[in-house]
Amino acid sequence: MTALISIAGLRKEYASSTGKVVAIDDVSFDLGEGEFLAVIGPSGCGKTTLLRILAGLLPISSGSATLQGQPLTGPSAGIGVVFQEPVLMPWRNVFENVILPLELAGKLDAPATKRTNDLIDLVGLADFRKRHIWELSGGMQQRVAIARALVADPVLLLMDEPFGALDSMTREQMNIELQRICATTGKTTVLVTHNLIEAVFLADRVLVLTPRPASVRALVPITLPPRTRDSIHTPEFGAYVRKLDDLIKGGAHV
Amino acid sequence: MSDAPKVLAEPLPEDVPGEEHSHWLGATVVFVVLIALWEWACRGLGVTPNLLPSPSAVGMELVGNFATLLRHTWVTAIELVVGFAIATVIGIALAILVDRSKMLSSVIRPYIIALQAMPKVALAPFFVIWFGFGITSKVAMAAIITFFPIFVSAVAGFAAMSPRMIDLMTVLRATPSQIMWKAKVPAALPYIFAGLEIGILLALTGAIVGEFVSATAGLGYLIAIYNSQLHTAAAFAALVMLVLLGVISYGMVLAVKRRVVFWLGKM
Ligand SMILES: Nc1ncnc2c1ncn2[C@@H]1O[C@H](COP(=O)(O)OP(=O)(O)OP(=O)(O)O)[C@@H](O)[C@H]1O
Ligand SMILES: [Mg+2]
Repeated sequence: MTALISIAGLRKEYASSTGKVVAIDDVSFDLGEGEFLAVIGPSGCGKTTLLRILAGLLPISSGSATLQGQPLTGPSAGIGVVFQEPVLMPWRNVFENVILPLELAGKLDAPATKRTNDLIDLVGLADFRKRHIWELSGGMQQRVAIARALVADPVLLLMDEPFGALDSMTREQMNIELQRICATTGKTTVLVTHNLIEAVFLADRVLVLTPRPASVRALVPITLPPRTRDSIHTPEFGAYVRKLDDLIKGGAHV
Repeated sequence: MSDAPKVLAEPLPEDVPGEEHSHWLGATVVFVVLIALWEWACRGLGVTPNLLPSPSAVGMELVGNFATLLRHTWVTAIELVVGFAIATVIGIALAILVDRSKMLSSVIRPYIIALQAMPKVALAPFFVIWFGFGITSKVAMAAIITFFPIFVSAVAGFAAMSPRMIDLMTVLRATPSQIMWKAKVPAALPYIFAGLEIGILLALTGAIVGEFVSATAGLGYLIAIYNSQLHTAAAFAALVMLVLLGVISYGMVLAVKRRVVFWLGKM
């Protein structure tokens, strides 16, 4: 496995009105191509900060962060991001929202149209291509955002609690779909989540962060076979969830 | 299937039936009653026609003098539309420049504020000196009085763009002009139209003020002339045309808004 992302001794400080806030203290990890990493940690610990750094939206304070060997100094080509809210354009319909990244890259041709339509199919919105986005449910809007993040065929998919606002049933459905999408596209993915079941269900490895300032408490490999709806109820799955829960709450045993 | 979204893009059908109808009915009834009261007051109480003409006298002027009224309405309408168009183009263009460049923004902002604080009506006599007695000075008056709400609302619209949307465009490596035209301008349209709604009415005020100061044509000119002749019924007829012009132009802005900002109130 070649490292797509390499983070070493990462530190991030914010300048705030009351002085410096250290959001990330010392985080190091490598992410291999095709790997699915879930990031969990208590609220306010620095997960979004980490994701924004990976997206090239925030400069780092010290340490190093590289993507494909290149330092992350700004938004690189080939990154798809799904934010906590869908961030869709209401003046564009579903198709026009999904094709946006290709349009911005100046690639509005027949293959672009085909790829956009394929991705809309992939996220299960084939019947909604020409719909206005206010005619979609919250979960459907988030699927539009996922399709948009994938349409330019990014090497890295970053997701910040994409299903945080959804009820548990819709969320489970979205997890299954996301798993299918990631299996189909083989994308390297970083998913920030509060939901431990979601983390164990989707991830190859789970990065557990400490309370702010974030450092690595543990990097837990999930060695379960490809998960299905039923594996959630197996004892092995439950053991992982309990382990992550312990790590987040106290880190008593690492 | 491909036709369905088109239908949904039309103005809300659920707003139209029943209720809207009864509002119109009520308004019409009130209108008729008010006109009847007014007529009765003029005849029954013997109010001097020079002070307050009766509705029937105004109606007669409207019919008998219609060709003249229409000619002058046309002049005012042109001043209104041209002034409004100039203010819209300059207001939005300047707002885009101000949003693009912090430097430019800090340089021109004091002037904008100073100009905004000044009652623009006070400029009318100067415009006559600079642009003459013709239509140009009225267009200038309409434009300058309309410029501010459009400029200010466009600037506010660009500033109100969600930081998440900027993040999205940044991650997608959009160029500054792509961010402006594909995200900021559409996102600011509801604000811009709020400015245009105020602006179209101010443009009419500007044109009329210009005509009051000095003119050879237009509804403001007509009202001033008829008033000086104590021909109040004719002045009222011109006023009626002015109201119609205002309502129609405002209605047109609203109709355009409903088409362009079709997502307003939906998200
Ligand atoms: N722009 C900023 N300026 C100053 N401090 C900030 C800024 N953004 C975040 N922080 C601080 O950095 C810390 C980490 O924030 P971050 O948003 O990364 O947390 P998080 O782990 O994503 O939390 P949550 O799970 O609640 O979303 C917080 O304590 C926050 O107050
Ligand atoms: Mg967060």
